[in-house]
Amino acid sequence: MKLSILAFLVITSSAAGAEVDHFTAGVTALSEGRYDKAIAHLEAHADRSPSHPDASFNRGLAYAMRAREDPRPGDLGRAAAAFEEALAMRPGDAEAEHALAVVRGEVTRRRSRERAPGVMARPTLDRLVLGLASERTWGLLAIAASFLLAIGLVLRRIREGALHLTGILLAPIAGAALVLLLPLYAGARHLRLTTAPAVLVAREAYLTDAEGTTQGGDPIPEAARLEIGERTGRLVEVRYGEREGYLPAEHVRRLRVR
Amino acid sequence: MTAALRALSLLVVWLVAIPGWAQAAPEVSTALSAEVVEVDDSVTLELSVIYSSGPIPQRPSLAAPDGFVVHGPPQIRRGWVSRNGVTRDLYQARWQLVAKKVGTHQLPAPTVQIEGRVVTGEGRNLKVVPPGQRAKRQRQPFGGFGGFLSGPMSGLDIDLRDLFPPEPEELTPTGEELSLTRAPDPHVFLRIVPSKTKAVVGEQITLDYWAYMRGVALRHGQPREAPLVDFARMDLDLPRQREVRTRVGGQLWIAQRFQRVAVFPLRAGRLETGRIELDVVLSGMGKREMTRRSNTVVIEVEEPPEAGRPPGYQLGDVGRFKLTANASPRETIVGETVSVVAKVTGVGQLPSQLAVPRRQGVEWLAPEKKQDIRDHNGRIHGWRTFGYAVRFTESGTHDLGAIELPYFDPDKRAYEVARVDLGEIRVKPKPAGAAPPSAGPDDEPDPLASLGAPRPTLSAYEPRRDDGLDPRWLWSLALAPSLTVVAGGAFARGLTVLRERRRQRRDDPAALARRALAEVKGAADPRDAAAAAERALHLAIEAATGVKARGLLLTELGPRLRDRGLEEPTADEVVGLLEALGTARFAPSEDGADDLPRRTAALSKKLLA
Repeated sequence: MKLSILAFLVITSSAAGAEVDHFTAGVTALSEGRYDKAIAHLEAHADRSPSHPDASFNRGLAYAMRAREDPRPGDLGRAAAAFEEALAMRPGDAEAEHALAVVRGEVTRRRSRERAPGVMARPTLDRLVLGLASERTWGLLAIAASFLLAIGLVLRRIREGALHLTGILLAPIAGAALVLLLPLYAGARHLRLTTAPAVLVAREAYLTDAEGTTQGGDPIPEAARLEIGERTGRLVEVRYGEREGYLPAEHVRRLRVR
Repeated sequence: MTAALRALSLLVVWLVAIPGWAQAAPEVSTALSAEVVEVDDSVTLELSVIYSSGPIPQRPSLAAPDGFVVHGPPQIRRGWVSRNGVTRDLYQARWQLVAKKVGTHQLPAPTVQIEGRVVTGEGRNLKVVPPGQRAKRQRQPFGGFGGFLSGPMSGLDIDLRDLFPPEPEELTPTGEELSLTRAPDPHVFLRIVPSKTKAVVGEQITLDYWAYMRGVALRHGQPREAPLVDFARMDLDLPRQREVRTRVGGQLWIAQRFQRVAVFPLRAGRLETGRIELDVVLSGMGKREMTRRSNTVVIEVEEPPEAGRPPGYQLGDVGRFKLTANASPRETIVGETVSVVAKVTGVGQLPSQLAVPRRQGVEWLAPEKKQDIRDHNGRIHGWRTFGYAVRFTESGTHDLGAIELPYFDPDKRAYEVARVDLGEIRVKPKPAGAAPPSAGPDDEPDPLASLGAPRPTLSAYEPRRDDGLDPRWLWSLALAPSLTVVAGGAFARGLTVLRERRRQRRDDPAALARRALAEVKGAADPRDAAAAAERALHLAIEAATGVKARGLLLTELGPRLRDRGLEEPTADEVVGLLEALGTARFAPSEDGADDLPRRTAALSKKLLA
């Protein structure tokens, strides 16, 4: 079966057998204002080492600084992707949150200067509901509802009294909750397994169909947060708000949080 | 209810089975780029790990095999794959080996560590032959795929079936510029060929992507683009001539062009394009899927000469351009705007902005851009318009001046300036009572300057592992309690029904009557026999008609039995027998008393029938 692979920049050590500390080298280059080198080292660190919020933050900083002084297409998007990773791994990181807001604000400012259309993405109701809690939370609630249903069914067998009344009320309520919570768990699990968060790293992109034909509508702006699905060939399934389509895989950067 | 249970069971099976792949152990595989190589040829050994949770694999390792030289540390890449809609992470490590010794070699299995546990790939066999002795394989039509649309790569973007040529003859080679002294791979490799390796910032360079193949037929999908981080990029149409025969290392190869792009360097320096990647399927040596990477091309980029550089020249404006413009209306009032549309037409990378003339009392707002850019014989050309709204804050006749576009012509190696005059606009004062014009834009802030300093070290961090809930546990705990209660209730009800039925069987008058008849046979004393027979007859009457005969006088019994449907002779027989049994209980020596048990048994059987 064909495997679909995203390519990243690769750094190989020039010294035979020597491992380069890419993180330290990247921080040094970043401090010295050598942003290309910093990006190369920090990307190599991301390829070879487990994800870390500080490494992602520094990588985002490198892209943002290069976008400020010597911009390349997609720099702000890659910066946003890196800050999103830092936040996903360490929620509440105020510095990363501020940096992400600044980068997205800069994208909006540049687009408005170019009179590019503003785009708003609204999440759909199903994503809103599923996003209220994690897969684990929905599952635990469903288990709790199941036990309450069992208790209600037992209490109903008592002939009369307060317990019988409790059972009469508890059983249908818990049953209805179970019927609601099980699909929510299944939906959250399905989303977790089949989709992944990503960020657009092109200046803007138009959704296409599976054959690559542009669907029309407003473009997705750089640094927009996306949901990606299956990749087929050069294209990857994308969901942006309520819109679904395909984008070239090289325009999308999947967030890595492991 | 049964249908609902069935549907629920299917849902449970589906939801447990589908994520089974996602929860699976890491998949490890090893691939070799060739099965037979010549001495001094290189071969790539690739270890792939597909995993869905936990920390990433680390420390890839390959013991240097005897007879081979391993070039440098492995190249590492991370990505992701999709199978059946489920996404998993991919980790790959690649080693480049050069064969030095003839023979059949067992390459050792590469390893990688996952959470401290060593995971081993598979060893591979590789045959190394002396130079020039690798056999030519007989190529099958259509590469042996069994048909045009068959093959492992669904969604094939480029169909090359009609380009499966026969074994190339020893012709006079063409494509001298594509020849090479050495092949990086014995069967197929990629190559980026630039139109030039020296350029100025903004000058177009055309890159042709070639696939070289020998002894195999090739199918592939879309390439994964080179990073081109220092270039702007545009796709070009492929020229008609896509296939060239050339020589590599003295041997005849087929070179096939599969993409052409125009790139424009964004800065001066020694810039690298990076490598392209292509997933290919080779036929002619079995169906082999592999990934090929190209060379990287270095372009020496310098800025156009400073000597003679016109003022206002923007680095990157390279080509040949013409400039036209139109302003309307030519008369307005203070605070209102007129439209000025400037159009740049030409060859090369069209400028992304124009320097507009600054005048007292004239504000130029940000332009709206439109464009039409095409490619003709590999040269980018077209037009771009800049639509400005120009606002006037002072009355009078304003000469808008001219828009100038200095550019560098790479063919002439000289600067030129395209220019267009915009003419005058008459601006009348605002009528009395009108609102003053709005202020112009302030200096734009630089928010990116507030992003802070880099983090010097990796602070303590414990990754969260959110693998969700095991669906097997979830579905068990979600369904088991209520199903247990329901099943328990059903079981209890079943037991109650069984007990009730057993009691009914036990208390059935017919059964009691039969037991009483059995007691008659066993009674030794005639009085006891008569009593048992009377008891059996009463039970038989109750079983047959429902009448409890003990509570009735014999004179009342006959009519009652007839009312319950018993025939008159039978009813009379019953009454007569009961009377005789009553007498025999107290006077067993009467005539006919010995026959009473037999008569009772016969009548009882008749009633119970």
